[in-house]
Amino acid sequence: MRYPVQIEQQNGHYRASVLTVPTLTKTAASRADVLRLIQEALLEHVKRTEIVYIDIPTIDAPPAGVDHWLATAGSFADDPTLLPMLEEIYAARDDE
Amino acid sequence: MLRATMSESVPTIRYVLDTDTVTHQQLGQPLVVSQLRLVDRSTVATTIITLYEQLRGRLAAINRKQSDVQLQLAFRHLQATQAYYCTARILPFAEEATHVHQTLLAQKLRIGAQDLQLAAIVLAHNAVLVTGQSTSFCPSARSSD
Repeated sequence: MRYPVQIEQQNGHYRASVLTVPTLTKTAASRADVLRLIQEALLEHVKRTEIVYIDIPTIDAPPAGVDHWLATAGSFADDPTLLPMLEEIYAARDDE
Repeated sequence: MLRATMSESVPTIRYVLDTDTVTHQQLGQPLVVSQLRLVDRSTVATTIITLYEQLRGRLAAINRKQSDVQLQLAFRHLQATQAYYCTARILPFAEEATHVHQTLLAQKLRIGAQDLQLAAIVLAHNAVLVTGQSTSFCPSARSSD
């Protein structure tokens, strides 16, 4: 398993942080040391954690406070193509 | 694996507007609008089937051979349709509707694909389909087929 690790130089030290685990950071005097420390810490972290997926319901609600059915009533009143389009839609349904 | 569910905080849908009713609402037909005034509109929705049918119609209009002015108008109608549905409550063809749809398919009913998908969504919500140019929000011939 590969994790992206960011290494920064700070005041003569090296600071490593795991990008996908923001709380996991280590500091050392050398790049090699900080990589070793972060690898050990990440290994321990992975041992005691798990990744799960949770389901949430599809949100089919419109924006709050919008009375769509009255606010948009007649919004296509000047569209002469709408009724012919409706006829085509129902003709397509009947053809199925 | 953990499976979390959340209770819906949106109102239960009682009325589902079919494509013809939505069309008449869009045109501002007085009878449809007056009926809408009488009901709790937070319980009114349409379906993804109507969105699909109207978008398909708008796209077909764009693909016709026509003048630049007509093409400009066709694109304007497509954009207006997209904006219209941004504030509409649209019932999805989701998991529950899929189960109902499978049951309906197994019955080998002589109903078209779109009508069957629409029926599945309405049945999944235990709602009333407002269709058939009905002037009142009650079940009509098509919904009780």
